[in-house]
Amino acid sequence: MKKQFRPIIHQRQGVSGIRILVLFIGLTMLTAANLLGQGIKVTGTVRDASGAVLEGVSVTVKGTATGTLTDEKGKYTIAANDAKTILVFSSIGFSDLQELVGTRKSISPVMNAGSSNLEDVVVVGYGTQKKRDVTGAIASVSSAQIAQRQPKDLLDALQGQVPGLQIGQSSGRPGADNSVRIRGIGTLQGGADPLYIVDGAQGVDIAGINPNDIESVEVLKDAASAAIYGSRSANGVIIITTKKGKEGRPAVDVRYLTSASELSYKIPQANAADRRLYDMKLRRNLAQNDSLNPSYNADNDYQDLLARTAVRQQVDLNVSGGNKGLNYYGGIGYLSDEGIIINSYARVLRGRFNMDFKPNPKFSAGNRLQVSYQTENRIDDGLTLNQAIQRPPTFRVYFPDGSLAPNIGGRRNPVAEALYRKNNYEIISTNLYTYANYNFTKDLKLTVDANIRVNNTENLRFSPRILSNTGLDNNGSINNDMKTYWMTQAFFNYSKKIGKDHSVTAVLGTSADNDFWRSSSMSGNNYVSETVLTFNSAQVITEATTSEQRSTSLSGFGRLGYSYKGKYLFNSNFRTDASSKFGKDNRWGFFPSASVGWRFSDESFMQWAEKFLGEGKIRASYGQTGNDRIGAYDAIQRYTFGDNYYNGASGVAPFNIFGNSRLSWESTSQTNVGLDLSFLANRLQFTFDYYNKVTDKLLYRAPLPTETGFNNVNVNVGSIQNKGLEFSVNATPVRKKNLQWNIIYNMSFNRANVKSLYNNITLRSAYWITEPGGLLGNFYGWKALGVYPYDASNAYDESWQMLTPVIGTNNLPTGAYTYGGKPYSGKVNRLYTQGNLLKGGDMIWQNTVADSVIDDNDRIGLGNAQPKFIAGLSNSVTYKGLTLSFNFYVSWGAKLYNKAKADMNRVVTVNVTPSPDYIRGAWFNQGDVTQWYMAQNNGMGNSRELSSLYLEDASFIRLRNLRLSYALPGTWVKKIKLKSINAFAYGNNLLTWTNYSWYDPEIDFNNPLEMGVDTGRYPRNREFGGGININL
Amino acid sequence: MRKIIIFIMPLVLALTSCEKFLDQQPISSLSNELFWKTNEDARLGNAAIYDALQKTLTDSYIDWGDARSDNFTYSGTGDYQILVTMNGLTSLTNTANWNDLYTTISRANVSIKNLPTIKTLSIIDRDHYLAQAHAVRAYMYFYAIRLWGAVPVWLTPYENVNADPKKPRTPADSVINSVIIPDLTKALSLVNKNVNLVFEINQGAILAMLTDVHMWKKDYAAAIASSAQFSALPFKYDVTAATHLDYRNIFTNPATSKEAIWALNWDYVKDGGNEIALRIGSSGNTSNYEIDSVAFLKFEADKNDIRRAVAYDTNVVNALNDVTQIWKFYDLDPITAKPKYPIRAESNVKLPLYRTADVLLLRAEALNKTGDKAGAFAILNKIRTLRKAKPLVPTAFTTVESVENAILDERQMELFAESRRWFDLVRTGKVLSAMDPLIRKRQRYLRLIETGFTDPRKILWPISRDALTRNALLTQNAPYSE
Repeated sequence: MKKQFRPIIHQRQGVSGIRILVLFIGLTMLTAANLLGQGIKVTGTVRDASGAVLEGVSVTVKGTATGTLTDEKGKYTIAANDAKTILVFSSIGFSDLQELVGTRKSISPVMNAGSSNLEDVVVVGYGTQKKRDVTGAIASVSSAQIAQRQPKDLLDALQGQVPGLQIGQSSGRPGADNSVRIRGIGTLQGGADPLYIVDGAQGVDIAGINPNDIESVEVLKDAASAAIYGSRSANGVIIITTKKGKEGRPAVDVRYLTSASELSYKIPQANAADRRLYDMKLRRNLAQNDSLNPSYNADNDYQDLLARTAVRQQVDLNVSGGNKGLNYYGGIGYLSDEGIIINSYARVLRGRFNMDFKPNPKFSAGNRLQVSYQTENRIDDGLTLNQAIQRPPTFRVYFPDGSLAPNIGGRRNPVAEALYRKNNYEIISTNLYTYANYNFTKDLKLTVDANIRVNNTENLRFSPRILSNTGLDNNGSINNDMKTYWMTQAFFNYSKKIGKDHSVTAVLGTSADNDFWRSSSMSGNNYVSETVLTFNSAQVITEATTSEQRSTSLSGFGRLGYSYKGKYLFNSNFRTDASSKFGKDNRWGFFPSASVGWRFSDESFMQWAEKFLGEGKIRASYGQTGNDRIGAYDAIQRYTFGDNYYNGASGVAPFNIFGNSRLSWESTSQTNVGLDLSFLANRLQFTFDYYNKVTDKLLYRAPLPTETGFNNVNVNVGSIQNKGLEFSVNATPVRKKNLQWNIIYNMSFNRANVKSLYNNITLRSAYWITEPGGLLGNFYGWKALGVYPYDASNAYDESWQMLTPVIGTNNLPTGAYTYGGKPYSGKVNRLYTQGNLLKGGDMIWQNTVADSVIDDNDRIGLGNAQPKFIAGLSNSVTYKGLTLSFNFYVSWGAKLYNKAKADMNRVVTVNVTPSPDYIRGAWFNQGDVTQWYMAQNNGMGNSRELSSLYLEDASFIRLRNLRLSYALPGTWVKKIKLKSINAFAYGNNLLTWTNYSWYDPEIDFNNPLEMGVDTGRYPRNREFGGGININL
Repeated sequence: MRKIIIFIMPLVLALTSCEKFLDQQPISSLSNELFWKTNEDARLGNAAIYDALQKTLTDSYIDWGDARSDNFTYSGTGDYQILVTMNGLTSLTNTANWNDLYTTISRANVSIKNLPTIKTLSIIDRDHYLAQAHAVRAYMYFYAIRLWGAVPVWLTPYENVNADPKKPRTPADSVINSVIIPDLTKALSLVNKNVNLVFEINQGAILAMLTDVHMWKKDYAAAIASSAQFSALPFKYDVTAATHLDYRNIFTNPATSKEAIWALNWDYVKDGGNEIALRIGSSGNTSNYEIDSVAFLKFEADKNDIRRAVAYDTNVVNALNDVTQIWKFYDLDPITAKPKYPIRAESNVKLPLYRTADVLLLRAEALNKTGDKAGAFAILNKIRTLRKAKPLVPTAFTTVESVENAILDERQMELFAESRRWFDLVRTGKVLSAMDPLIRKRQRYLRLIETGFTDPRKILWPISRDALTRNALLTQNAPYSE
């Protein structure tokens, strides 16, 4: 009878779980709070083994949020619900302790020194590991660290938190992309993003994860940790674990925040007077006339017209709970994020439902359901902000009747662009992960799971007539991307303690996945109506096409771990992968790894250090990982069509990238050596890692001589080396009942060297050079040495050393020269460029190849786009209920090409207005000494790209986040029948120290071959906000 | 450990049996072995050659054939056009890159190799497609040697990743004699004599090209022979346009004109807008190039010449404004009866590649060079009379060179902005005399130091840096930077 009864109970629990979800959506859960009991009052004093009282020990009622801290005398008082209540005592440097209340009213436990922190488990591939047993380089970020930031998404939460993890946001646009790099970039075109694993599943859309739903994030940095994900792990792995319900009564969390953002920095921009000065310099006409035409007689501050105070609102609600056989976590969050450019916004709705069901000790199953819906109006910064900065301030924006002016003199009206151009995105993403576990024995478990993702992105663009040059043309497009992905895995976990000293763990499994993508695009013009933007409105259809691709992979993987007394640790991961993307004969790859660890602090000879050294571990690992992120059909020679039309026939032509049937895995070998130290009862912890990561068989599109008819060939040749150092310090200088202070500092250095390339052919793109022996991200261009003051200043001796013209009494060169202060009487050489002789007002370029011409051979390396180091500093001070936290992010030593400014100052288009410093400083008369070339489009390439004049230092230190939060005293909160209330105020990007002159020095590093160009991106905002978290 | 290995072996075997799951063929493109099977494949493979030709010429038609001559000077915004018109080409100049040209050649090579493998294709059709491939290939090599001199020669497709993709440059003479002329000769023998479609290679186009190539070689006898063969074709090509409408019709509706031999069709919906609308005929009057005073004054010298008002808007001249737009290639707006400047993205210019007047004037040049002054003037005055220009009096031209100059002037008017003038100057050795004074004038205007054309070796274009980097066997044309 009883045996049958159990499942029924669980079924009822299951039903109630669903009902709770329903209730949660209906917001009627508030009544649940009334059920909280009054309980028994328990008091006591906490001491350590030596008998000293312990201050600041956390005492909590297990399964609830009820808790307190011991005072300076080690005393505490807490209300327990009933005799079955378990109290949990925890403190940094001591092992956690649990006490069943029973009939006791006073509990005074003794806490043993231990490493509660290192008893934590970390999530590794296909299982978990005790932190103390970790032998690879794994870093964790907790939900508490995430909560300090008010992040909009996962990556916003991670920047600066993990050594070796470099996150660069492309711009300040709502929903902007990020680049995520773990330990540098080890590939050219194979895809440099890490692999994301969410609750054990690959392929989950991380943009759809509400950061409030995240329990922990693990970053697997070295090959030995990542190799269990084989062919996709060369860029590291980020494992995200979402929250689960905890046993106990339903907990309801409500969070609300709102903020206001503004442009953090305004760029100096020419005003009407500057523009008139510029017109004078341009036309060499000293008369500065105001135009009588009202269209040309304004004085606009475009940045004020375009920027606004943007409001962000975010509401999150979640309910969680469970009992012995079932737990659930449901969350829903809505984020409305306005951009600081008018009319730009992103609105995101994210929902999650996690459930785990364990009907009996042998079997369990569960799911993770994630749904997100996002709408966005993505303002094109090139058409608004860049146009605004360049447009003559004198051009009108509005007509007297309030309507917006159209394009004037080829310049767009940035306000009209922002308001009328449509670039709307609608993104729906759903992900369902389901698993089942079966425990054959206590030691052996089988897991079978599957993950399905569907992602649909629709982009509608429309440009109405008012934005066209003629005022008569409109055009638009609708693009749809639909991606589906499924993955399934089956694996065994084995864990056995043999005798007292030996423990063995093992994993063995297999997986398969299938990735499908369909894109449809339609574009047309001459819309019937500008209010109807569905595609039936387009009278001329210029494009209507769909295309599809699919890739599949199969894998087998395993892990073997062994530990002797927890002192000597060994782990080995291996994986074999096959991908449809590679040539038939080279499909399979094998990725082995091994790591060892030695907890020397556990050795008897280290006993002398026990008092201050709590933990000491040396780790070493070596492994191979792979990269398969290339095109689905790169190994196949193909004929393509659809854009090769002639005379009514759709021409079919060989694809211009040569398909290489011998294509195989890019393989990365990485050695990691690490050291973990913890002192003073874990109040001071160090982690230090050194790595050497070498990528061989680089997958990239190597240039072919175009005479073959192909631009590139997909190859598997070449090598890149990343070497680096990382360390982090975690310190708790003060730990008292009423005052706690915690600091975390981390820092990482990385250097990416190109060792060899296909046929040693240098890869050149517009501003970069990638060559064997060089660094990734090396800028390449002309070095600016100033401006020739006089025509006669273009004078060099026979070894091309610059001569100084002698200036006569009439302030003009006499024709004589000096060199090094002495009169020069030899032959005078002169420099040409682009067919003409350089003269006064033209740029002086470094004549690298000493000849009579400044040409492309004179280009040299001008610096590197990647920072020399990045660092993060987090600080948190808690005084009673008040917590002040702030963190800094540092990126040091990178160069950034300020292309936005270079484009403004190109002086080739009359109506593009240069920067005020250029206008005022531009060379005008013979003898002018200035850094700014003359304002004339004379074909001398004074504004050629890339010029060192516009390559700026992008080092910055940013106060990324500052937050003050206040937890209302428990006694007040209880009076209104709540568990806790937290109110907070915060600021993001409050301060940035940088010498970079455009909006923001932070940039993403997406394409390893083309890093570090600021085209005038959407500026980052400065955000002030506040909110409240309520726990029911 | 052994257990693990025993465990993993069957697993690996099981996975290996799933090879089928891993065999993913392209969904939206064709793997190589699936193409060149049907008659339709032949037609579509052939279309791809012309498509590449469009991509080659849309940018370069004016830049290669006109922009450096006395037809145009820089205009609009940007500095690219200043470099082109002032002899400031460098290895970084976009249009110095021959990649599109070689794409066209490689598509022709692919056709030539694969057409014979289609079993169902009739010999007549196969040969006609082959003739087109050979002739377009010759056309591209002819452009190449005129621009860069020696160039690498590829006559078969690049198909094996292990084969060396690098080839050195072959001297121009050798390209003419062992590639261009054999290709054209072969095309002539294979071409379907009954097809005269103006948007494809046809018999007339091959003979016109042969005439052009022989003139470049200064093989006047061969040029006379080829042009005679051309005039004798049953299609009866001739110059006929005697009104503005008829003359414009050669460009806007070449299929209906005996004057058009070969033109490149354009449909912006499928091909994108033709770049003529940016280069010389911008709707927003910011063309890259505007007519140079030399060509302009020649047009203005005879206001009755129908070619003047077809080339540009004479009302602009009457209003004493600069002529910044050429509307020669544009259709008439039915309402205003004036040509309509299209927006760049919607420009449907059909590029004229060979015209009857071109062949006849080349013939006139050859006749002049071989002592037949009367024959030369007969052609010259036939065209002039037709175009309402005053006939020339032969006795006013006493030397062979003066007659040649008269013919070249006539070609400049007749073939204005048709990618001819620069090559005419190069072919007849008149670049320096025509361009040195012009460049000096432009230098003065831009307040540069007056140096002139400086180096006759700059008649050739530089090899692009991109090509030099990709192919280590290439050497740069002096004096451009290696």
